[in-house]
Amino acid sequence: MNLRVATPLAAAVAVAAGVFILVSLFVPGLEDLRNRILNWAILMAALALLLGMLNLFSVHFEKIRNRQQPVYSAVLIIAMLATFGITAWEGSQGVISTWIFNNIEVPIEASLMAVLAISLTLAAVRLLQNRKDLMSIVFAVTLFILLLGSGPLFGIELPFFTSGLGPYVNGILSTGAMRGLLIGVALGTMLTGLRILIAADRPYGG
Amino acid sequence: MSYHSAQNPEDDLPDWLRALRKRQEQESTDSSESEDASGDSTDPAEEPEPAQDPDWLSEIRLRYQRGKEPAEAAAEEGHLDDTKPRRLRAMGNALAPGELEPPADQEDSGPARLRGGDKSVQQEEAQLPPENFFEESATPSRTPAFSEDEPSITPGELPGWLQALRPGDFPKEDSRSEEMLPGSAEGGPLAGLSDVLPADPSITQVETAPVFSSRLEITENQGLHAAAFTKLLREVEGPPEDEARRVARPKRVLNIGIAAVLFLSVLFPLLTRSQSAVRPDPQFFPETTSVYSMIDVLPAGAPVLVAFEVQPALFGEMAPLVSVVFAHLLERQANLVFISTRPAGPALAERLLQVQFAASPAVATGTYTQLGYLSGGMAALRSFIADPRSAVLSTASVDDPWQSPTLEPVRQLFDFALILVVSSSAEDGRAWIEQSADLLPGGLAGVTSAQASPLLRVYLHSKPQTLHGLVSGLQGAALYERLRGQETGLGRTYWDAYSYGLGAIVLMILLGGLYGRLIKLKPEKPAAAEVQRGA
Amino acid sequence: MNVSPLELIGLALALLLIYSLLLPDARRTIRSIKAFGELRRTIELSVEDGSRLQINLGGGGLLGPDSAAAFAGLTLLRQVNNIAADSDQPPVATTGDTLLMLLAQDTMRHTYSRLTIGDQYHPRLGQATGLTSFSYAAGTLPLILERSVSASALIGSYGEEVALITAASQQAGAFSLGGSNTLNGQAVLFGSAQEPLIGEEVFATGAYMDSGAAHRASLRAQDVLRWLIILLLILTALSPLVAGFQ
Repeated sequence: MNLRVATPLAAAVAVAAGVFILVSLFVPGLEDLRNRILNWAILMAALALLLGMLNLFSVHFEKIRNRQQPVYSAVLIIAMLATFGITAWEGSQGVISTWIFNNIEVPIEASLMAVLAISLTLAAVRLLQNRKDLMSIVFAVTLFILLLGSGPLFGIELPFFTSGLGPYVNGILSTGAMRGLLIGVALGTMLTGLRILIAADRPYGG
Repeated sequence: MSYHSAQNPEDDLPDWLRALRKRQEQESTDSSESEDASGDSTDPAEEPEPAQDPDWLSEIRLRYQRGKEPAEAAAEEGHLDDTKPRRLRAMGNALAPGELEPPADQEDSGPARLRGGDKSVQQEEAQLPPENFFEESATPSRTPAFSEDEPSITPGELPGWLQALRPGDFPKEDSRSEEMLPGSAEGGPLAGLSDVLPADPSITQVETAPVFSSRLEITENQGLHAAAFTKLLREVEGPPEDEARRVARPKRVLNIGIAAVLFLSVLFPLLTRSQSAVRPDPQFFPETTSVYSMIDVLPAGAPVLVAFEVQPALFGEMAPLVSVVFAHLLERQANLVFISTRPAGPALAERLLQVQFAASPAVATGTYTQLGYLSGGMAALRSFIADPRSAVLSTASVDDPWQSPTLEPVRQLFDFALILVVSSSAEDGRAWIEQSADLLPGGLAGVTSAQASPLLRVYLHSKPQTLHGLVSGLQGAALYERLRGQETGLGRTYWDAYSYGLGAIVLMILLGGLYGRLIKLKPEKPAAAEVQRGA
Repeated sequence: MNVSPLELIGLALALLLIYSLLLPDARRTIRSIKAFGELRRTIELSVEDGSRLQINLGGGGLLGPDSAAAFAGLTLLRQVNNIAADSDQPPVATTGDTLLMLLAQDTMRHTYSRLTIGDQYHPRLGQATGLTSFSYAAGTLPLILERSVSASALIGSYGEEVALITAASQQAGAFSLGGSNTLNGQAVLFGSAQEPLIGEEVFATGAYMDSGAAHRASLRAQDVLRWLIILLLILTALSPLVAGFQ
């Protein structure tokens, strides 16, 4: 379809669907139709999942062709196809698919989390080297207080931090700050949604 | 081009010239009557003897006669003499007309081979025409076609309009400097022409190319600059190192160092089965006590909805906490109903049950319910909370889970005795709390990771209260085990390792930060001195 | 004082329409955010030296509130492609959600068409590198560590896994700018990214990258609503005091 025709049509569909969903949240009697439309969206998300698989396959196949880390890309493609095939054949609760999930995916992701602990420690070490403004100092001090208040260090409890300063910073100061940030994020989220509802911002099709 | 000297030159002459010469010879021998113009045996052609010479022939004869008197001829020359290059005029004084032999003083400047050093050249020279080939003899056997000293053409008369276009009188004299003026050709084929290169053997002589010294002549200032530049180049050793690699190498060492310290600090208490770290005091965590109380009062067989929103990456942290809470639930004989808005949620719940509670009768007999994966994000969650039975769930079970004995009496979400949100992220917990705030008067209880606790804690104090209890992180696991009176368990086992790891992290941040600041405080190396020395 | 969601949405919509249609003051200056200035500079430098820009949109889907941060990332992607699409190494977008991947590809395809270089576009410029948060981070690392990336912008819904991406950016010597709608992500980005965006600054991406009057109007409406909420909070906090006096 010509882009010139598709863009206004996509905008019309997006605006109509968005307005309807918003109205249905406040007007009773439209829940069934709303759920039906949401189910269409869920179906499209599932189809998009297949497209994402194809995209991943295409990207890594191209890497194999161009000899850019071909071994890693080959392992990825083989693992992806094998997992997809096995799960499609015997279901998500099947023996092999469950074994793949329990013995490959979960340990790998847990390992990434462990690597994250090291990365965050290194980032904290370098925090004041890279940035010397007031906010960074406040951030570093708060980090220390909360770490000391998270539990005993080397088996030694510091009551001042674990029972006093830590809960105060965590419960009072940071809660207020978090709420402020969340209010700002919520406002931004709302305005972003409204921009799309009035078609002032069209992330679909330019 | 070689000349065959054995051949009679007369044979090469055209007929008319030959006839002219004969006539001249005849005239010259009138007095002597000793020669016969047609007696030359080499002249096979008959020469015509016209009764009256044509005008042009008379002119040629006249010119020939004039050629004998070059001085007179030169005086009679008109303005064309001015155009003759001076050099040629000078050469003309040195050489006789037609003479190509270089002056004696120029002979030595030629190459050795032309000076007689090379036999082949000598042979070549022998083949050259005789020196007097172009010489005008007293008894000329041939008449030159023209004389260089004579103007070959009469000066033309310019028409009036062309004269008017002339910018001015041409200078009578050649104003060019002597160096620019080439000599005029006094003899040879270019005789009389001006501004030509002298056609004398000196031009054709190839001189030895002058040898220039390869030594570079530079000034003192240039030498100083060159020395400084050479020094600069010497100081540059190899290509500049890749900045990323230069940064990455020490960072990699630091990463490995931090990992080693963390690994050792966590492994040490596990290996030594240390239990020295004091577990948290429940009096400081009333929200955890609330969860304990809520579960402790559940009647047997009560349906409990567990929203299992755990990521695979955080399963390691959640496992001790969820294990102790599930153990409490199973001890109270609660009927667990699992649901998740994360695709991996049901699989992780199943894994936890099979690994930790395989021996439990509820798990062994399968008296728990997996509703499956609820796709659609927050919108689908809102729909599920409003009407659980109408939600579209992805479940592996063939049978309709809502038809099971556990879920038979459940029509709305508040029919569950307890709704427990097991969440590794604050966003999932918030979604459940906020979407169910107006539909669940009884509220929820939360079992979350430590990172979600600060954000969800505020809901404990909301009005109306949407979150009635919260237990979070490894600290919550250790606390809950203490509440249950357990001395063993994953929480107790990991608590010491957690304590030592936390201490190691605090120390590394403190020492690393101080070291980084000390490096920044170090004075810079004095590089100016070296630069001055080099300059 | 209770404000219903519908009233709040209506007020926000009215402000948005007023500022975008009736009072579109393009000359109004907005406070400078160093992160966006550095980003602009880095974009220009990368176009000059032929290095690649990477726009990471995170794992937020389109069916929840996380989508707003993803849309901010799409706005940035569009603006970056407007500048750098025909450079030696065109920008690459990574996502942790396949719907977002389709949107990213669509955005780039339209940008290329608008710049009349549609033949240079190919779908591999937009990639879904993983479907869980950590797998997404792990899939993004090779793109950064190949060292052809000079700048990595992380605008979207991120959690603590974003620290892996920023660490890789630092290792590769790439400029990193990050903003997230989650508090965990913001905290991690503050400590690890070169230029973090805190709070609602991530939603100001469109206005700071010259995406149009609607984005500037949205920013102004956001400011007005924020001041109104501050006023409401203060009044609500003071109301018991006033009632006590009465």
